[in-house]
Amino acid sequence: MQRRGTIVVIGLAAWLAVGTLAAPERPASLRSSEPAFRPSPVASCAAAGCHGGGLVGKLGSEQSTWVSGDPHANAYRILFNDHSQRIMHNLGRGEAHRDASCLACHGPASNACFDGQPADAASDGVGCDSCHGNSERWLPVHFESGWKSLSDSEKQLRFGFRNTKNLVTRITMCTSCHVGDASREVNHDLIAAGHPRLAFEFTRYHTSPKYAKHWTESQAERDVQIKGWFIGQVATLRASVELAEVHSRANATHPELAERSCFACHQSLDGTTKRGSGRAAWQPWAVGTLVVLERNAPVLFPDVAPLPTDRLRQLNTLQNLADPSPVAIHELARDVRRDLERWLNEASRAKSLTQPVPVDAVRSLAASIALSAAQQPADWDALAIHYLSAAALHHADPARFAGWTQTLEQLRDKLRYRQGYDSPRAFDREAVRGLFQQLQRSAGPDR
Amino acid sequence: MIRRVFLIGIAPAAVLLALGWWHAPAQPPAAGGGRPSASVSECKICHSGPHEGLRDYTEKCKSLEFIRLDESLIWERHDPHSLAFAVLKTPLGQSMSERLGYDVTKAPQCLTCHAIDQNPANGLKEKTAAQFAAGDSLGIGCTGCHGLDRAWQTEHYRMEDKGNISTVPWRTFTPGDKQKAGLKNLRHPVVKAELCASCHIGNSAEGKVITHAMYAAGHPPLPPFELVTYTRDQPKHWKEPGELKYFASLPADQLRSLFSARPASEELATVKQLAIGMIVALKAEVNLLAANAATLPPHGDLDYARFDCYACHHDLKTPSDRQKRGYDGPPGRPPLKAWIGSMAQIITDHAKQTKPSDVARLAAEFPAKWQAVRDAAYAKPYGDPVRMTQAVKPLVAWADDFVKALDESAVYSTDESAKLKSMLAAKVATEKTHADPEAAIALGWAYQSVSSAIEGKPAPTRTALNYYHGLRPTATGMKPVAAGTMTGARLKQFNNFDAMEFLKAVGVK
Repeated sequence: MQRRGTIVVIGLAAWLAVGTLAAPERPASLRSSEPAFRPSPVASCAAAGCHGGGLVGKLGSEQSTWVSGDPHANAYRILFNDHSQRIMHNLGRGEAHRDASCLACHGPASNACFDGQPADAASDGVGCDSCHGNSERWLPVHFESGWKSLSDSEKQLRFGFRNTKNLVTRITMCTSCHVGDASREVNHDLIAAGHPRLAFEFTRYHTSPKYAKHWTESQAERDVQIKGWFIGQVATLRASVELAEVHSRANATHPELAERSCFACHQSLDGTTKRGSGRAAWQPWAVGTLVVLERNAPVLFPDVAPLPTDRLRQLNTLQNLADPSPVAIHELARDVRRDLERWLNEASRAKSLTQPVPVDAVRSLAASIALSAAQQPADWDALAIHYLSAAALHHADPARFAGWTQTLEQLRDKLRYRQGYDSPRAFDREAVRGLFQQLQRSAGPDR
Repeated sequence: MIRRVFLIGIAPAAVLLALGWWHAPAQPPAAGGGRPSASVSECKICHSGPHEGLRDYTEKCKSLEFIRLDESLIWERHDPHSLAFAVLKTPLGQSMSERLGYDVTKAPQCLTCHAIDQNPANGLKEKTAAQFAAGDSLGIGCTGCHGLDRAWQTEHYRMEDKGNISTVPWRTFTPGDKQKAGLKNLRHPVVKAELCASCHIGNSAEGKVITHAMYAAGHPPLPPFELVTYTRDQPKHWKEPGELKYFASLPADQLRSLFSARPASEELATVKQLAIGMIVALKAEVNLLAANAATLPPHGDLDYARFDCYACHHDLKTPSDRQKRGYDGPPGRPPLKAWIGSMAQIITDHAKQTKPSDVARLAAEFPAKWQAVRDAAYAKPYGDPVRMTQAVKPLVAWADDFVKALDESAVYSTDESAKLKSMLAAKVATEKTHADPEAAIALGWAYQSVSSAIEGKPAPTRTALNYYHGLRPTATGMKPVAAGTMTGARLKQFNNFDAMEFLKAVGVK
């Protein structure tokens, strides 16, 4: 047995030695950069002796936990409900469960292979391989003793395995569906037909009571939530920029309205709202916390280069002009995407990614978020992402931020969608700004 | 003694004479010919009701059988056009100036609609504030619509005495002669519709365009434009030929050639006006589309103001009435204003089944041409400028041909008007129309206009607009109210639009 293990390691090492593995520029977790292996159906992981032990919440029963309490397990099933049927009817398209653009997120494993034969595993929904990487190559070897000694990039590039314990790997993979990428997105046509808008913030998703986790973190929850928030913001930015790159291609539909601030347009007019120029800003959800990210990247990740934001700012300015040239957007977006990917890649290998967040970093973050929030324009997306950011800190360190509780509850009430509506009908901008100013006052050190 | 007479008698009279307040038979001022005059007070000398000084006109020339004679009073006391400039100085106008970064009381792009342009020929970029006759008392005064030229202003009241018969020769001038003297021939339905539409929808060549930036800064949204409803609610300071004795006595060919009208027994003038108004409105809007498209690069977005405001500006919910009624183009692509097409559609639908055949033939061409413009609007969000430029040309040419045919050949008799009325009722009652308040409003107003014309009695003034903005005439009797003060109330009602209530108010159900 031990000799077999050794043979496997030597074999793997030899194989790996053949190709030089220069650190890839793109995060290895991005679907678009990984090798084109086929996924296996969830059934392949679900043997009782593997991951289907039946003891929900326990090691060895990951599939059991997933199937009973993870919303991803329902992703395919919901394509049959009334809402989904209405969406397809509004689009004038066929059935959602046969539509490639729906399955790209809701059932990506139609090209699965089981026991060497092609298998359609779309009905698994977002199954094991959707997050852990298409397992055609790694399924037979991931339990071997040599496996654990492989580096993340070796596992990724040679076997297609994603190490979801790594926050950067995990979160960039989340954003590939929850924000979008070159091969999948929820565009404005789809939203107009009834699909909910995508509004991703990592810590909110991570701490949702509806989300039964089938893993344990290798860091304290506090650190996962704080660093996860940060990485989530950068990953959302990266994905948004990739979408801008895609939408500005020569044959693409532009402007893509899903990239714009939703409620700048989508609010009933009452003749009294005092707002801006009559244009909807570009991606305030993604760009809103930029100043916070810039200031705090060196604080949270001191061993990583500063967050590159110059070209991102240029892209933001360009996008907010009247009739920006798609060619100019495309080139700049490509450069910005690469800037952010380089940073994320470096962060994924940084020591600081797995170290506890120091107290003064938390304080700095809190002060930045509150300051940035109080200075935001009267745009719901920009204000809401700041609320969620403050809420993420509060959730991560409730003792330190106990003084924020009441203000955050009031913010939530002021920002939430109105009963019966999918929009923050007539939300009180000035009240929200005032509440953020309150947060700012109590965000000083040791309060 | 002499000095006392002078001070008490002659001097004041001289002053009064100089000010033109002398209530003797009005003496024509020196004919200027070609000089623009935007004066409102000069018109008021005569057009403020049949007073003592006009006895020669009312008794010898029977002026009251030709016109109302109280036009200036109506305009001054009841017509919102009198407020057109004054509203620029209200708090709304001031906050618009702040948000836009220019003074709306001096900006040519505002004054083109809110004041009188004394040099309409120059392009917007060349216009200066100085070329506008702008003032609180001027508003959009008489000459702004009827013509700036002093020639017609002085010629039109010249009286000729031939023995004991007095006439006003102007009444027998051809429209061509009147136009040479500078009168805008507002009796011609196409001329009238194009003038009104030039502000109430827009005209790029004249510099009359409301952009989305202006709306975002606070400009009240323009409601759907149904000409007969708007003129009724001005309120009208004129009567239709069928309501005046002078015209009833004219032979039909003169009535037609001189006053662009048919005998009241033959055609309902306001229904003709309504029909032409709807096509002219369409043409005005698509010309704005073309003018906008011409300024854009191929990847550009048409100005948001060209699209249906409420297609974007609504709170979201699902399921929603909007989704239930379906979409004209792909969901999520802003459509053009629905009321523009639905109004033109009803006129062409009606015209398709009439004789003469040139009207019917042209009417049948409308759907395809309009579809091409809509396709250009849907090709990408906010329209494809290149496709739009191509699609608009045939539609504008068609609109010109069709209004000409409507004017010359179509006769909106009582019977035909009744057919149009039932088509309007059917169209306005469909679920699709209900889900689009602007289309429901435009068609509802049209229904009311046609109904009143058939019944031969004027519709109650301002009720349809009142429903729309929830306001009632004031106790002092219909003082004009600036639209800007009504915006909040209007929008509230619009956002809670109850199609059934509205249609009941206009008499459809």
